[in-house]
Amino acid sequence: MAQKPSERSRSAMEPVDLDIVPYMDIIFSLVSYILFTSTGLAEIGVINVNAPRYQDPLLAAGIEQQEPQEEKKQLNLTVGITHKGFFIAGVGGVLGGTEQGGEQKSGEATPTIPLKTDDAACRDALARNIPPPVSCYDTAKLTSEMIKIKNEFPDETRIFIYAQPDIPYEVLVKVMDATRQYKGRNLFYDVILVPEIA
Amino acid sequence: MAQENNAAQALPPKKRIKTAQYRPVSLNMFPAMALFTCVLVSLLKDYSTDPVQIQPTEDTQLPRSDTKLPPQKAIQIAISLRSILVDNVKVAEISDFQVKPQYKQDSNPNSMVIVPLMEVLQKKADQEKMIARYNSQRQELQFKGMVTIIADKRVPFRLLTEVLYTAGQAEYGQYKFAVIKNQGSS
Repeated sequence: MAQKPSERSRSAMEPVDLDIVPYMDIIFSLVSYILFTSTGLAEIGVINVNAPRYQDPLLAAGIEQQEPQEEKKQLNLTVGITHKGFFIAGVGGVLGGTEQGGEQKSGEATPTIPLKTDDAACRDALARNIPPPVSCYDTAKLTSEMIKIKNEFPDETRIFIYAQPDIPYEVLVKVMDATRQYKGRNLFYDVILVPEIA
Repeated sequence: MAQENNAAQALPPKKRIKTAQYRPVSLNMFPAMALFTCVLVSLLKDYSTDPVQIQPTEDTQLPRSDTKLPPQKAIQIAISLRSILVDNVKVAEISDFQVKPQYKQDSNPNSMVIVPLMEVLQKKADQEKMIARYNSQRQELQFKGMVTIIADKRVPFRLLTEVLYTAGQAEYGQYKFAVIKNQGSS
């Protein structure tokens, strides 16, 4: 309502506070919702993997691939994850396993890198032939073996990984970590999964 | 204000009535409001630009990895301990770490093909190819056959390979395994 200039100066102008409580409610609700529905501060990454291969169709047909011009060393590096440890194999055969106290049972293959047996859970899993906990696998030794192989085959990047059917996905990720890179040096990052061994 | 109240409390009752002054105190909420607004904007930015949206549940615990690769926009296949989901839509149920036989090809529990998963992925592949056909100039819309696998760390290798094999049958041959980056790996 309009006032005369003389009255305007005398009128009691009370300061009006902005009511921000509804706004605060909305903001608080939104922040809570986003925090509860997201993974929080965890950062998501990805690992590249190629399609599983059952069998090389050319090899299955008994046809050898023609090498382009110069002969190239084919490694076909393969890492197998079993209840006993890691098997590492290449085109020349399986890398020899290290014996750990005791003779090898007849007919049973010894893994290239056996499980760590300093933990009771690992020994129990080994005795019962069940999937051992992730910590039982010696991934540090696997990485050192990969470095040795990489030194022999510097151009090779491909690795085939297979596992027993009940091996957890977490172990597979650990193996891919151990074979992919070491202190900034690329090892075998072109992963192809191979199902499955009995 | 606190000191005044203490002084008023120390006075005898008669004097306290005369001298004590009760003034309404309004809490200044503007700094808190500014802070919350900043937090909200930051969270919304992360939320909208993150190509992998994961609902953390007891059944979907991602493994940790040293990978440095960021997620990319792709079809998401989630494998929890109870179900398989494609872009947050359930397509098959899991019981005791195995896909229930009725979802397998010919109801054969040993089959590698999960039928509803393949049907959904084939539809998605057809859609992506159609979009690519009408946008042949735009590289980002071309069909790449890429899927992001969001699997629980306890999922067995056999179940994982069944899902990958089925995706391969539906022309999806590039897989991105979603993991939680270890601190210091990014």
